[in-house]
Amino acid sequence: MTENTPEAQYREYAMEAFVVRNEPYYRPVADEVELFTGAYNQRIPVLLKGPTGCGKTRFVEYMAWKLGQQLHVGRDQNQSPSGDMQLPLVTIACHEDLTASDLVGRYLLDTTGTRWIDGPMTRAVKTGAILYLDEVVEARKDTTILIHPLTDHRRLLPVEKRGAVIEADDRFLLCVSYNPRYQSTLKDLKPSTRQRFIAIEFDYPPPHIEADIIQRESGCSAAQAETLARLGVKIRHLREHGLQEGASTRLLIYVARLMTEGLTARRACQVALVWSLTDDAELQQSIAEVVGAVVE
Amino acid sequence: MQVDLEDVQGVLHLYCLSLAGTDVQVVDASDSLQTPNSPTVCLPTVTARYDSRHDNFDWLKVMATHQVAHLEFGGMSIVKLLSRVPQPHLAYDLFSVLEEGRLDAHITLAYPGLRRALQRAQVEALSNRGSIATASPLTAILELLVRMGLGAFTDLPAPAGCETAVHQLAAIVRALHSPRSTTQDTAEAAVLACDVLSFLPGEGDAEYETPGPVEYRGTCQARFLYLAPQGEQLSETLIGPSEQPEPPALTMPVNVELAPEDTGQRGQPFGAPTLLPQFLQQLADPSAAAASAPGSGAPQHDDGTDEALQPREPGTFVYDEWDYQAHAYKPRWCLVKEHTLDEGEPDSFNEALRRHGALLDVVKRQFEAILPENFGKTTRLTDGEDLDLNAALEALADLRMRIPPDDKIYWRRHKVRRDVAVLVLLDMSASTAEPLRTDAPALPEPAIRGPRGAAGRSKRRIIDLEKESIALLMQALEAIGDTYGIYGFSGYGRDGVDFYVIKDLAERFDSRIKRRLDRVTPRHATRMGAAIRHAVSKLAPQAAATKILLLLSDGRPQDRGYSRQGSEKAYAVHDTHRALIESRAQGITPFCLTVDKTGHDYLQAMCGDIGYEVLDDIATLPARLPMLYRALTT
Repeated sequence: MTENTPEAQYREYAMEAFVVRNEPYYRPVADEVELFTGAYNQRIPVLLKGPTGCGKTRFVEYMAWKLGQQLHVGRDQNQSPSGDMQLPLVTIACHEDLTASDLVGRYLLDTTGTRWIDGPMTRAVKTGAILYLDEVVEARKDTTILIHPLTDHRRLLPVEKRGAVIEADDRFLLCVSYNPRYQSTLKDLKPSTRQRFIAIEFDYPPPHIEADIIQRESGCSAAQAETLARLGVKIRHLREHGLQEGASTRLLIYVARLMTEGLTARRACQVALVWSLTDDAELQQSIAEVVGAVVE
Repeated sequence: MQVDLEDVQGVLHLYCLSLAGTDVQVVDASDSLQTPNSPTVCLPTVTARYDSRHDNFDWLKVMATHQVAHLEFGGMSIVKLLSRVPQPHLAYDLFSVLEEGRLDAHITLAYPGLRRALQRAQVEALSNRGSIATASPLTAILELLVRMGLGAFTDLPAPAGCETAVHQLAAIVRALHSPRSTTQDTAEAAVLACDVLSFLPGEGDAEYETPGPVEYRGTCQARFLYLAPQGEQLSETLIGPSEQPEPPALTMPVNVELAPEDTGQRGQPFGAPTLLPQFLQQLADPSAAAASAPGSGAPQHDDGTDEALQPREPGTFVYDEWDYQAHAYKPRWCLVKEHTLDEGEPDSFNEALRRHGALLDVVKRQFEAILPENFGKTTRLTDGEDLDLNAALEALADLRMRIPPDDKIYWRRHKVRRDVAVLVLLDMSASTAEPLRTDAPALPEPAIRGPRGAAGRSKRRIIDLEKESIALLMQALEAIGDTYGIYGFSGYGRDGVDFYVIKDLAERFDSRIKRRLDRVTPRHATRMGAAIRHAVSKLAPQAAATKILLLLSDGRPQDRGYSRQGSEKAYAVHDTHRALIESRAQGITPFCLTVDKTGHDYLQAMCGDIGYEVLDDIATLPARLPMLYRALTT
């Protein structure tokens, strides 16, 4: 008997065609939505600063969706069946080997000769996407310098190899993020780069908001979410005392999701917090004791 | 199986810090020599109440959690409120009993994981309470309040004729167990309870015995006094002669300076655990208190002049000083004298390397391991080891496009030279003569406990550990080849800031440097701002792409006349902050590393968004210093 193998289910998009189709859940903490909306309306580039797992990327996704709802541009390939406009989101994870060619594009050889292929930055500029450079300080400064003509009044992308200059689509916006705590003295944004953005600072949400987020993202009960939010506050007090970063909202959500799978709270905390946050034995034990006190 | 405090002290310290959100020392309750200058949790040396180690540790956790609860759920001044009642002493005792019970209720709600251990402790505490059959009614009622605080609301033996009062007090206690109750509520409840008790027949001036302590709630600090803010007078009747030493001058204001974050924030008593010993000391010896309390009365060491200084000798330099209250610099205010340290023996350097031999191996390996990362693969060169395939393809594509191809189609490995210069600035103030406590030998109790400064303290001092750490760092820097200078500073007064050269930036490391390190000794005061400015003048001209100023200190900046007003501490902190900002404006990255456990109190103001680190355990300094440097520069 032949067994039918299930087909792998995945979806592949062209980078500039990726849109956030469904509203992502995002719980505003302050006026960051209004700030980003205002910056987008004025096409002012945005710099997001904050610790890991506090919601920066989710925020960008949310804003890509929300701002897409507000646009009225007639481009068929970006229209959803409902007729709403959507704003593509192009995300690039920066690293120190990222070159200008990786961002802008390069000529490739194929059997028919050469052809130019646009890099993700060029595609975002042409299609009017939000270009999100994550951990931008990881990239070399000779690479990040590329964004300068895009981030001032010119909104231009020079493509030297083609002898061309591309004017950004009106909908294009550049957004970058980084975590200020990670930085060594050798990696930092140059003032000439930094001063091309407005900055929105993120931090872990206040406990009552964080509890809402945990509950919504995991499906756990309100009481469990409140307990985990309180636990997060306690563990974050260990920043500067051995922990480079406190427990992120992301990790707390992982704990809650494991709990909905039937794990006990303490076991879920052990694998998602104690063992994830540090390898130092004393610190692990201390965090475990805090877990033991807060969680029944 | 017993639990020794020294085995779990580190874990409990971090545990208490997590709960409190502020640094809390965990100390041995039997150590009479300790003089805490930060919130402190006192725990027994050995805990062997139960058979299992886990249960014994839980007991310690309950003790620690209860003491931390005073910081977490307690904290506002109740002196004013209590001083208005006719019997402030009784009111204070009522407050203490009610507050301890309220804190236990909060712990039960906030820490459900600890509920079982707390309940067991409460049950045991109840079973150990003495009989009140022959006690006076007032004494008996106070004891009943303790029992209610331990969760016992039934079968309470109320004294005859006092049943109504006991019911009323029980209602008060229950109300205080609400999750929204505060210390203010307890104070008001204490006043209310006084009122209830005043209606008992003949209780107006009755003598009574203060209830005995509850063991798991800790007794190290006796009771927490929620002291008044600076400047308030304390009533004689509140303090009372029965508990405290006879105060010679109770009309003298309690002039205790508070850090800004201690004023008025919920959960942070006005330095209650911090200030109790100081307060008692002030009552016992007001002259000592006046000398030690900064800002009390006129400055004692003011040089009395406003004159700008002139550098009249070789090796002297003048610098401005920032006056934060005037929002202006005091021009040419400080005179810095640069000295090259004399040479001693190389023994201390060699001893440091011997003592930390294993660590030295690790440090060297880690720093040497950085170097291969610096063998970068550089692509797109006109010549090199091999073809850079990407570049070659692009060149070929350009040829096909009839675009002149780039001739940089090779790659090679090469050593990327680190371009880092670091200046290490070592605080050589008198406080570095303080002996280390962490490696004190274990002593049997209590016979050998001698006078203060004898038993329980090592001969090694903070400065010795700092020298060892510098020796290790120098070895690491030699391994990696960065440009570095090691300097120390101290001095006395604005015209006498001493700046010591241990190894100048331009000097090579050799035996002279080792011998100079031997001459690093504790000196006088800590006028950080001037020392930083002189250090910056040496580092700024360096051609390195990355310049780091690493300040290693054991305490806050302070010096003779480091202000002419009473707010010396704030002045010194602000001037130091300004100096650090100035260094950044000159392309230098400053970083402060302190072994002062109370560092968080002032470092946030002193450093702002400049990096700093507080070492909780000074013994980790030799390991931490090189690794910190590595983290900053990679």
